[in-house]
Amino acid sequence: MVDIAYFSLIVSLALSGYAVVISLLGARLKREEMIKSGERAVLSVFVLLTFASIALFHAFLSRNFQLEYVASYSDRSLPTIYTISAFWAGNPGSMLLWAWLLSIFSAIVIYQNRRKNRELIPYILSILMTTSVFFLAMIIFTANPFKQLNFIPPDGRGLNPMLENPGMYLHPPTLYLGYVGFAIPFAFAMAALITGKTGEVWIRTTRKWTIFAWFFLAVGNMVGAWWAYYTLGWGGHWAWDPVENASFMPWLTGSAFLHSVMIQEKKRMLKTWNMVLIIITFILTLLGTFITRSGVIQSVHSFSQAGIGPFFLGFMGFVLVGSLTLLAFRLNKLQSKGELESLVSRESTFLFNNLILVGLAFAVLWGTVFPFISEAVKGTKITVGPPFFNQVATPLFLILLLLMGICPLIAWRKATPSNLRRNFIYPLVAAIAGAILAYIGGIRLILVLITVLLMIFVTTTIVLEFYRGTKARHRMANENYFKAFFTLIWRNKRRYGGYIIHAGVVLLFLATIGEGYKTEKIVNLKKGESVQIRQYNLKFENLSTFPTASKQVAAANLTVSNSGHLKSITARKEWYPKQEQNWTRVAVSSTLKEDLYIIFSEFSEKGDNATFKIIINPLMIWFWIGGYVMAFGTVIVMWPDRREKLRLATGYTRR
Amino acid sequence: MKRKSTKFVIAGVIIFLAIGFMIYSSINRYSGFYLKPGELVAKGESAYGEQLRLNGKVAANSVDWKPEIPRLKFKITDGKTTIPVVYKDLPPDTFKEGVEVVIEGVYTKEGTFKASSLLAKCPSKYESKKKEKK
Repeated sequence: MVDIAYFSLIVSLALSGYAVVISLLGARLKREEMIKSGERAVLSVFVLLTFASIALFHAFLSRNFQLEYVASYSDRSLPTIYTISAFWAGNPGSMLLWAWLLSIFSAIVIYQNRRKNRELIPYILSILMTTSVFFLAMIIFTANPFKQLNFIPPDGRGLNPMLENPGMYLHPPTLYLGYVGFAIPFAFAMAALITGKTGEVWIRTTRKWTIFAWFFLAVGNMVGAWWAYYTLGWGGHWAWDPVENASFMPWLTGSAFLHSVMIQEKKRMLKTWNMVLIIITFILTLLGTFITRSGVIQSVHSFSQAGIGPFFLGFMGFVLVGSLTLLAFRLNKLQSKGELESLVSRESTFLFNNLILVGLAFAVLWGTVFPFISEAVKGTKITVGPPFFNQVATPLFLILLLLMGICPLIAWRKATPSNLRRNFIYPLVAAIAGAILAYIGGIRLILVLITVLLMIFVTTTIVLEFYRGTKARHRMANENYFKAFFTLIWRNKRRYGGYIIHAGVVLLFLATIGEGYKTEKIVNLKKGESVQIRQYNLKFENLSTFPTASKQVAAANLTVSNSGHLKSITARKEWYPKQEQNWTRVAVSSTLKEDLYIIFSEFSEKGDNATFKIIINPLMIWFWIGGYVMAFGTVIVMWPDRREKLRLATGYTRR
Repeated sequence: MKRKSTKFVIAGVIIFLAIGFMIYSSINRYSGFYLKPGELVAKGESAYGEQLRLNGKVAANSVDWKPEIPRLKFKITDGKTTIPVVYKDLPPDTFKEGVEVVIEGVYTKEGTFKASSLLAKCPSKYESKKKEKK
């Protein structure tokens, strides 16, 4: 099976190459049978890669340790569920996952467009398959998951225990769904440029794909943060680590793209800008994969190193030069039909939102690669710390928040002074009142006060939007308020789903306020001794130690009394003899107000004495709630909509 | 017609310049040298008191950990030069003798490195074993 799987990778590479050539030829010579043949080649790649992936899953599950990859990332004691996720624990499997997802998406694109966009399809497929050629070549030549050892080890080396975690189960696949997902709008954009059909068709066709990719990038980042918070046990969830930045950057430019395509759809403007954005986003997804998988940039949790560097840089350069050249040739076809009129208009808030998002992505990129550039140019190794990112990102984040509030209040084209007065009065009054209340309530940090002000401003805006819409429906359609509210959302999923996503973002800001009020304390407690931190009283009751199949566990039992409320908490420290590694399992007790985060660090041999680091993270839970709200909003936006289809269909006939 | 788009170009340029300026002014302030112990000592007096990062291995038999204070002392080495380190926080799980660490902090006149953060490289056991075999 393994040999056939490897062989199917090679055939996939050949077929991907064939699909590129035959599709282009077919399009050039207008030979439908050649285009069809290209499609069939793509579908075959999908079948073959599916087979190869199943073979790799099977190799893991059947504990085929003759495969070097299986032996490196699993062992007999690994539970089945994590044996499955070991598939993407290392480079070879991750790259195969990328290529496999790409082939799945390509097959879906063929199915979706079997009766439309026929003149775009050969170009779309040739672009997707060029990417496929690249990934498959890299897998076959540098990171073959089916490489066999010349002996069969009795057992594998096991998975890093930190990866045996639901977070790590979901984090890579969700991120890759996002990364690979952006390949589809990119391929459509390039096909639009090649064919000169640079209208709105490619954007409408790929709208769902874009949101899908954006959604999974967001989920991937969230899950990564969640994993860092609960598993790495240092008390935070975001450290501006290169690997984190790598997946954050395409999300930022993807968010910009998501907003600016709305302007192209509605106003036929920003066409060139949208092309630039999707090119940047696609390249950033490649860069993201590269940074995570290559370990080129110094990073503490770059788990892997392999000779994929030159491959990746070469391909990224090729994509960049190729797509920008194409864009330059077609600039005359990308003239805007409409024109921006006034700086004080809804269009211009979209534009500024875009500039800030791209500027932010650039700042993150610069901070991430600066050490690398400095070393290459000046020969001195330097590092750029989190304070750089916080310094630059904080004002930009706050401006984005402000724009999020202004945008729905301001009229399209050109806002009149009366429009501004009418719409801004309530949110502004609420925001200022809220900030004053916060000040009276004892908040003195200026950044926090500004954030509170803006958060209330945006929230009021969103509430007003829902309120006005509901009231209008109530009056016009004679529905009761409850029904009017839900039909409002249901009939305008994109708009109100978008507002829900914005509400989720506001909650993320709420969580970051907590950072300013963090408390930390390291304590050494004897058995039975207790310590007071803010309103919490922590008592170290006892320590129990016991072995399990794969580890030695030390569990510290504590009683936490929160103003009279008693709760017992267990913080653990585990020793994995096989991996010769300690793993502190933090105990987290969450309320809406704050998280009590206990790190069990050390204990004396007799177990009568232990050291803990106790952190109080205010408002932390709102970060995760914000994530859920954003996901909920995105599901509403993505929900199939018959009216939307109708609207699009009439849009097509009109032209 | 022309004047309208000029307005936007100017606004855009101002935004990008502002972001560019923020990046430029912050990157020098918040970046520090990334050195090996030998390179740090070679810098001589100029290295004192400057925030920087140091990368090396935890020297054998050098770890002295007093959890009740808490205070961690150890020596960081690049094979030739060894520098004593003091860190007043909990060491990460992966910290132990012989492991590669990245510490951030200040080098003092007394020849001790006062670390404010300590990162131990994630277990490279799998990778290193692989290399041994090749």
